[in-house]
Amino acid sequence: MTKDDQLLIKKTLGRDKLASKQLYDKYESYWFRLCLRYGRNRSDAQDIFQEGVVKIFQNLKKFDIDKGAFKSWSSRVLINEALKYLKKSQWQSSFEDLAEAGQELDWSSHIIERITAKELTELIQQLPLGYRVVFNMYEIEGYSHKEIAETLNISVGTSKSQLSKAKKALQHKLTLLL
Amino acid sequence: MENNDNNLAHFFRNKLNSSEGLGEGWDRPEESVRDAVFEHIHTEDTAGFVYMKWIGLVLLLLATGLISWYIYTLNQKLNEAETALQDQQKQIENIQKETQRTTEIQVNKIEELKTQNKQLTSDYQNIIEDNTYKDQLLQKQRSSIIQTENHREEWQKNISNYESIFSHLKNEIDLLKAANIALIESDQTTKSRSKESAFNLSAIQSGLLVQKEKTLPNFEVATPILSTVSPLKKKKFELGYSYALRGVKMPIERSFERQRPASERVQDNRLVAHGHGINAGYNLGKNWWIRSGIQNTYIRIKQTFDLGLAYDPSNEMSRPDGSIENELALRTSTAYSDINSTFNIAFDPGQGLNDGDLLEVSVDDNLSHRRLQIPLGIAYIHENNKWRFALQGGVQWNNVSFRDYSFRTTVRARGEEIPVDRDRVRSSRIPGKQFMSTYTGFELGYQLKERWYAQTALNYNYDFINQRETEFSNASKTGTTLKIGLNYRF
Repeated sequence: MTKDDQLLIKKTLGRDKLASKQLYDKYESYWFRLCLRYGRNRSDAQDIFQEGVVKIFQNLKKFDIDKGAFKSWSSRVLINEALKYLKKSQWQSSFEDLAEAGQELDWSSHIIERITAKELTELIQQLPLGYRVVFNMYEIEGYSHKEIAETLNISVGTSKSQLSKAKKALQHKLTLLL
Repeated sequence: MENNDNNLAHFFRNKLNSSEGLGEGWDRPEESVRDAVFEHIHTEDTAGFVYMKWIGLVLLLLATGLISWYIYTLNQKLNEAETALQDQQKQIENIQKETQRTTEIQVNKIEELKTQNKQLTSDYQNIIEDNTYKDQLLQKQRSSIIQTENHREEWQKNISNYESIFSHLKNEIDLLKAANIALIESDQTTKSRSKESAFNLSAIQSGLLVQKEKTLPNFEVATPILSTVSPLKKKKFELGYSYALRGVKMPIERSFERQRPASERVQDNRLVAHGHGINAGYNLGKNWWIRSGIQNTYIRIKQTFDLGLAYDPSNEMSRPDGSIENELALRTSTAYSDINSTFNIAFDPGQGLNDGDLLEVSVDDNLSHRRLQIPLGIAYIHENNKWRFALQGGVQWNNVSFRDYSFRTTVRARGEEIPVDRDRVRSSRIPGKQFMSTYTGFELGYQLKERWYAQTALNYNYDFINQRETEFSNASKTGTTLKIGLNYRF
């Protein structure tokens, strides 16, 4: 964590509005991208974002500067909020296997390099809920399968299976996109 | 396959975490979301602040109310305390007055008690001293009782011994009575049977002797017990004072020198001299004592004697006034002194004393000697209860010395008195005399107290003096002394 983050957090806790805006501006894009990956669309993402960012600022005094980076801590808050949001509407049979088969991508092709982050985010949004969540948590945020299983209240095997299938689905979608 | 998955994951991570697409707007929420977020955040702050303000206001009001209530209560308490203080001050004043009054009473009582205590202490001291004295007396009495008890036991033993002796003596008396009866009977029988009676008497006497031998040991046993009872037997020394009356026979010869005596007389003076002395004794053992001391006896002879002289005018002298003076010399001699004196007579020539006229001279003189005696003798003293009787004898060293002589003379001639101008002792040959003497006599004494004895003694003395045959043929060598005195044994 940078010294800027520490200073901004202290000032925000001291009810400095300017500091809170600066802290928001600094992480707005990062937080919203995360919300986009977990939501099914931009609307979901904005709901998750609004709830999650408010929660971040409300619980800012609980953040321990010495224990880790503000970025990781705020990510966890947003992920928890995203999961809470997703459980309300889309959780039913979200971890069922989908019989999708895809062709293998040619990772050496120069065309694949041209795919933007926005496009990849939209691909992820198209994944089923279970695939999307496990893929995001494991591959993007770096959770382990055990942590994912405990968080989502599923087995480690299901987590691994969901991840594998999420990857296959993404590969298939990428193939279609190319 | 696996490699493909890894590539996919790696691809997605790189793309999504890169800054690609920043500023394009797709990765930012709508402005309304942003506003909603900030509104929510700031509303919470404002609400919190307002809430805090209300809480603060309430607290302030509460605090003000509490302080007001506290001040009111404090004021009330202060008033109450002031009232209570005034009451307490009054009480304290009353207590002080009461305390002062009580203290005065207590001080008076203490003083009174002190006085009583002093008196009691003095009384107790006296009682303690009295009790101590009584205790000492009791101790003495107790020891005396124990001693008396011991003596009583000894005396009981002695009494039993004496009873035994008395019983034996009674038997002897009975035997003697029987012997006496036998003798009377033997006198009444014929002479032919006298031998037989005599034989019987001797038998009786033999029986008595045997009986006496039997009783004697008992008596001898009793005697030492008796002797230990008297503690005075153990006293070895005796010291005392005595007053002595001594019969003295001291002839005095008086003569006139240079005159022809018409008569010459030697007066044979017998008188009783008195003296004082100190006695000392030492017990040699059992009843024998050795005795000594010192005695001082004054022998004073006061006499008047008359002598006739045939007047010798050869020593006449004429005085300036025309009268005639003649000096007459008087010599007074004893076995222990020789004194020369003169006296002068004076008369008118017309009075006419002629050679050979008789002068009647009357002399009043006063002669004194001192006799000092140091005896050394032995005495046998027999004591019986408080009485004692002693026989004694020994030798004495004597020193008789002249002390004083004075005289007054009256002269008459032919019926007329011739005045004596002056008389004086002109010279005195005072030889003094030492000699030894012996004495023997007896003494009777009585025990006044445990150690004190009064006694009287009569001694007969014999002096070893050489008689001055030419002048004092009648000087006595013997004398008798009566002493009374008081002795102390220790």
